Amino acid sequence: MHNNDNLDMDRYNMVKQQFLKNWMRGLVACNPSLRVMSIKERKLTIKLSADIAMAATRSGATIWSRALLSRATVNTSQRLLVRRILRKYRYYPKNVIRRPSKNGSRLSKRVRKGRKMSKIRFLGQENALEKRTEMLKNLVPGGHLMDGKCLIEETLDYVVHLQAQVDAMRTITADFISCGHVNK
Amino acid sequence: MENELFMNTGLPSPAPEMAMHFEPPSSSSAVMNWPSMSSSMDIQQPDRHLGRNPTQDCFFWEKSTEQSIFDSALSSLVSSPTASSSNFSGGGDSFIIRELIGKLGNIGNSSGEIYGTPASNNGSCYATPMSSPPPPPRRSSPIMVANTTPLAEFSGDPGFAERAARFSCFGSRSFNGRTTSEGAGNNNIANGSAAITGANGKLPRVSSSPALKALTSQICNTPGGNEDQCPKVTGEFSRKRKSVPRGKAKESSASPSANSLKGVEGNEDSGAKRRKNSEENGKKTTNNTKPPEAPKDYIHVRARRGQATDSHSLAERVRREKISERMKLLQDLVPGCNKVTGKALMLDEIINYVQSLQRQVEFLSMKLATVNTRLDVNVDALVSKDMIPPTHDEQVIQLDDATQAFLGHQHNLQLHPNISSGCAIDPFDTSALPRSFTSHAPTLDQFTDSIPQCPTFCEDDLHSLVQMGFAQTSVQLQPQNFQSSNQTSHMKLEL
Repeated sequence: MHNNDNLDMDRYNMVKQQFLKNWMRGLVACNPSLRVMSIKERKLTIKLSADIAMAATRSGATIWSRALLSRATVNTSQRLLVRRILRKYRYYPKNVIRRPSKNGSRLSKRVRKGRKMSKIRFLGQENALEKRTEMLKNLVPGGHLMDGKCLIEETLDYVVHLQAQVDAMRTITADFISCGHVNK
Repeated sequence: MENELFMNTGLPSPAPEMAMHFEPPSSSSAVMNWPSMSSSMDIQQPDRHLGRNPTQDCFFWEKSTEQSIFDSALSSLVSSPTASSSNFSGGGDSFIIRELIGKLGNIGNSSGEIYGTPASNNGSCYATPMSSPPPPPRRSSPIMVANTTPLAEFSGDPGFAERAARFSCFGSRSFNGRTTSEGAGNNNIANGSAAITGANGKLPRVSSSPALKALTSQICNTPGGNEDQCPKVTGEFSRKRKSVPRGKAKESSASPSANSLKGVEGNEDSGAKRRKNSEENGKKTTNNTKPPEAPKDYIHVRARRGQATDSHSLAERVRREKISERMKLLQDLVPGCNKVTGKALMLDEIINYVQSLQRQVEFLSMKLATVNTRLDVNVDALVSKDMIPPTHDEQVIQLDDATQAFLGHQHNLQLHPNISSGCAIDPFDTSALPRSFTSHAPTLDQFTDSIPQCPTFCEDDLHSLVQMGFAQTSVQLQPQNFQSSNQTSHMKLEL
């Protein structure tokens, strides 16, 4: 299994590098506005850029990435920023930017069926498994659109990207911090 | 019978050759079970040679050379992450892409028929329960799929379209359905790339179907029932294939390709299981006219012995098997999930993990926001420094290097020199960061609670005091804080 681990690590690192690149580009895009923001807004901007970077790394091939992007664009105040960032990636998910609520139209029949099913709320007869899948659907962006099997696939992908995101962000913040420390 | 199968399709079974050629790249490109697979392959080679058509030998040799070329290309793709990431960004690799896809087509053609062999070789194949020969050759195609489909996005030339057309002969119906529904975002190459992803994605899956059909009898209950479930089954399969071979070339990331491999592996195992059971049932009628008609987009599932033969329950079983495969993959990914069995508990762990990761992102973004008032990012320097794939220890070392070149003009990080003056605190702060999120997540918590309103730490005295104070309190409070939050989340889930 040693080979497997090395291979997985390589690919994981590629994901991370890709995320870093995307995120840097996004941060550069939002840089002008960061100066005037309060700390909370800045945090939101950073998180937003990180999320978009993560979603862009997937380039819309998965449901969660598209849902994440559409979620970001629903908020009109952010939409401009999002658009600016995405322009940097030269990535135009047209369905995301123009029609943020129409994520479902692109989905296959099976996913739409899953979405319909999830709208039928179980009342008090949920077993443990259903409760948990419901929780997971709340966590994963776009989770309510997916049925069971699809959910797990998406979770898989999402977890990997989250890990990459966290690692990359951690590296960057550590860089920033220790850099200042070296400066003086 | 085996010969008949082969004759009909006009393709040999280069399985042994493929196995042999898979031995060398297995170290570099395989994901799982290659050594065992190839050993089982070796066992069954003598059996298969018996029925070998001698005129096909030259074809084998062709295949093997193609195979070796492909493998070398594949291993070069796989084993050089940074090189390939720079390669893929250029359009120049479209040549390699086309080559790979061409070979994928050939491999897919041939691998589809490999299933014919174990069926007719009675004893030895089933001596090794789940390690049947077909998986190794076919595993190349999922690797291909995982590696080439990302590349497809970059070249939208008509060469892809024609290859897509060639592939689409396998599963036209569901394939077309998917191309319309799959929105990859880039509309100008959407057709080409989606076609390719669809085609490549479908290929390993569909190539199993003619083989399965060749083996299983028509006693898959009512044909009408079959056709009901089959679009659904292919729908499932195509959905799985659509989502699994995705992503950009710069990633060809671990888990999706690993997933596709493992998914295919798991599915092939279950496929092997099905075939095995069909053999044990003793009802094997191979229809020689079936394989040429192979490109239908549904998969015959054999009812297992002692189980309901309802078409609905069959589909249900297929679905459940797929879900359990994926859960196994998740188990590998989420740390600490190995001891847990059962879907509910594993889902618990997964939920916990996702929540913690999301919280970490929040913390880190807040930390970055507080740390840096002016995110002057020297993109190139930063990216180049961080491009070195790190272990955690290396990260700490590299930070020192990075900081020399990086952001020499950062004036406003006045926070940290004062931390460094408190040297007892400083190593904790910077070294703890790469270590684990348990250590620094709560530090950020303390941070944000206590400094709501000062974004610019301009006053040295003030914020040195503040920093030292916070760091100290965070040291003390950290373990308790984190554990309590962890426990509450656990308790929430158990309710």
